[in-house]
Amino acid sequence: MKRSLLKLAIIAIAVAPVWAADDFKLPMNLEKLAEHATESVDVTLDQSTLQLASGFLSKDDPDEAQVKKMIGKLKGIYVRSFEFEKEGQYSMSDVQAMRAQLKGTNWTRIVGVKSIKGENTEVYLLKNGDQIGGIVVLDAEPKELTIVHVDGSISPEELSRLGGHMGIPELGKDKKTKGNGSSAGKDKKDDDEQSEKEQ
Amino acid sequence: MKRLLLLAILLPAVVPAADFNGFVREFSRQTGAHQLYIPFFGLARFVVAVAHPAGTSDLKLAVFEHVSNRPLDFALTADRLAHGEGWNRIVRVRNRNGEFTNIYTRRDGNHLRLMVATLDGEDATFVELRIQPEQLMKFVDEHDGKHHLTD
Repeated sequence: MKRSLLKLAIIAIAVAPVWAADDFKLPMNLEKLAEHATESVDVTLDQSTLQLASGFLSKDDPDEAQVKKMIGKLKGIYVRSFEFEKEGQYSMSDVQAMRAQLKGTNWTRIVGVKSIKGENTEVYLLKNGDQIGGIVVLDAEPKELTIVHVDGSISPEELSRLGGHMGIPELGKDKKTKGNGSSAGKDKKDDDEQSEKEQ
Repeated sequence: MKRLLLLAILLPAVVPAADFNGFVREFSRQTGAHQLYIPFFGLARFVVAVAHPAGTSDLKLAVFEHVSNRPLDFALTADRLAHGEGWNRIVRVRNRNGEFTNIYTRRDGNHLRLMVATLDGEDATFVELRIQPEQLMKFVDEHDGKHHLTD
């Protein structure tokens, strides 16, 4: 019995660094950025809060059941966003510290957008077999920094099913077919008016 | 009988929950700020308790003036008090102009309780709502037809 426990402990110690390597943690010094920011937003939905939310979703309603299933696999959703008055009020080393966590592990950078205006957006996925084990979005602009971390298993199909519920926009839905001409129709009209003015 | 019925309807609106009162009293004690009296607020609570707008069945409000706390101290005080009462902070918004907003959540049986703590200059406001989540989601879905990520 003691030997089995000892073996288990050795395995746990050996495997722990591998798990830890995939963990993405928001740096503690991000809080300091809030002191220089004109506005900062911190959204923290940890596992207990997500479980609380999923507890209110019905198993009988197919849509809610899907959302409940999806939320059940999530460990947390974290958003940090900072807006600054001037450029250079946050250091690129703050972003580098986060990038460093996402290198040399199971994280894969799937999107990297750089603009001459200094806007830099990256999307990282944590591969967990054929599932996505987490998503990190880093958006660094001269006067704005946003970090989004979705921790836990999630599939793009499940994510798209959330659209249209709880105020989440619908992904890939045609404006003309959605909204019966109310807001969608208005948007189209506004677009047309805008293009006429430009001409 | 009628009087009893009326009392049963009015009582939840008139009698505030002890935990919110305790929270507010403790905030007042720790910051030295005085709570503002809001006339006819009992009536507003009664309307909410009867009409359940957007799934809200209870509304509590406490407004303080001349809060001498710095924004960060306010947030930490609110966090500490809320955590002691079993609240989870889900949102924090901080503005350099001295505005601070924290949003907390807590389960209450089949309902969800939300508390919003705001500091705007020297004025602090605490709002607590008891919400039926299904009705709130329905309300949000019905009133959100503008955002579609397509083009």
